[in-house]
Amino acid sequence: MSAKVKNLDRVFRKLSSVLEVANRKDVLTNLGQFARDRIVNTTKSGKSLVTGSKILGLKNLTIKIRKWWKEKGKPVGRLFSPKRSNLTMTGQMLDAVQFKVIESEKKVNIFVAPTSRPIEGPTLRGQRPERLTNEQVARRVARDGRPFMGMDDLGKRRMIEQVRRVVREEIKKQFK
Amino acid sequence: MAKPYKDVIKESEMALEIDLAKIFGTKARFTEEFRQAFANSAIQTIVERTQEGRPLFGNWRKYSESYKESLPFQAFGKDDQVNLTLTGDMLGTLSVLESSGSKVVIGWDDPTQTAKAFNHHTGDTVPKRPFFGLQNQEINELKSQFKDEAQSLEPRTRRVGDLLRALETIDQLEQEEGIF
Repeated sequence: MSAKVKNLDRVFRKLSSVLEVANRKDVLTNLGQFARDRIVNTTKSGKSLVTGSKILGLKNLTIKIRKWWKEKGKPVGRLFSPKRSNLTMTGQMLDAVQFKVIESEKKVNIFVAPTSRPIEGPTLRGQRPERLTNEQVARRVARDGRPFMGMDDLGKRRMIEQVRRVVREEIKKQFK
Repeated sequence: MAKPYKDVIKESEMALEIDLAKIFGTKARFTEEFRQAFANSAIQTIVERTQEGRPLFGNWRKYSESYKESLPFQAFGKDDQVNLTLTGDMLGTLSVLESSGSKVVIGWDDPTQTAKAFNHHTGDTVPKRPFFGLQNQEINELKSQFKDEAQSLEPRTRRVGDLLRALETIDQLEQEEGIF
């Protein structure tokens, strides 16, 4: 399972070419930011852009652990709630979603960075902490039925429409 | 001043058909680049006014407490300003639907966003917050922005030709992605 968005490659390639014609390659950065924010915010709201529906609910044991975690005053991420399934516990994984513009390849990569996780989550008795990276956690989460790194059709349309507006602005500038 | 545009306000269709000949009082041959640029400015006008929290007319009711406490409201980092923007999908997909002769039509071609726009504009199941249209002052500003070019019948420059072809590339991309 991927910790990188794959279904935007063609979109970014074509939009990058269009932006080259329009002399506005700076807009690629805006598009990367838009895509990144849409993934994170939609996930935080409990929905998956990959499946188009609510993120799979939490098991009872998981909810108990999460309640315990909160009661112990441990650090929790934005919009954490014990029963809420929005891929948020400490908040580290979603905070690690990033984008990078690779102009030479007309690409924008959106990915979960392989950064370390200073806040260790709960471990079951007798088990050692796994010390996974955020990328590894994202892969595991997707493998376990909660894929989130992708873009929906409406998000693609938003990006396409942003570029259209830029091109129209450039057309207007050509008027004497 | 009578509106120089015709508005269609229905749950299945939300569109403004703008008559450039009426706005500019001329039978000039409007070029495609002019129509695209004007339509874009009209869209920007509506979107910016709405996102600044200003109604098309009247007043907008404030957000309810229950809405402000909802998960989507918080997930998308909204604040108290009423601006018809949660995910941004509705205003972000307001687009040029048609462009020919002296007419441009702006609106939505996505049924979900159309219904959303209708709902907000008319208050069908949410508080009425009219936003879709152009105020007289806005029309006058658009007219002022474009009045010199409206008279121009000069052939398009090569760069404009490239930009218009770029718009066609974008249309093709939507077809390829199956999201038109």
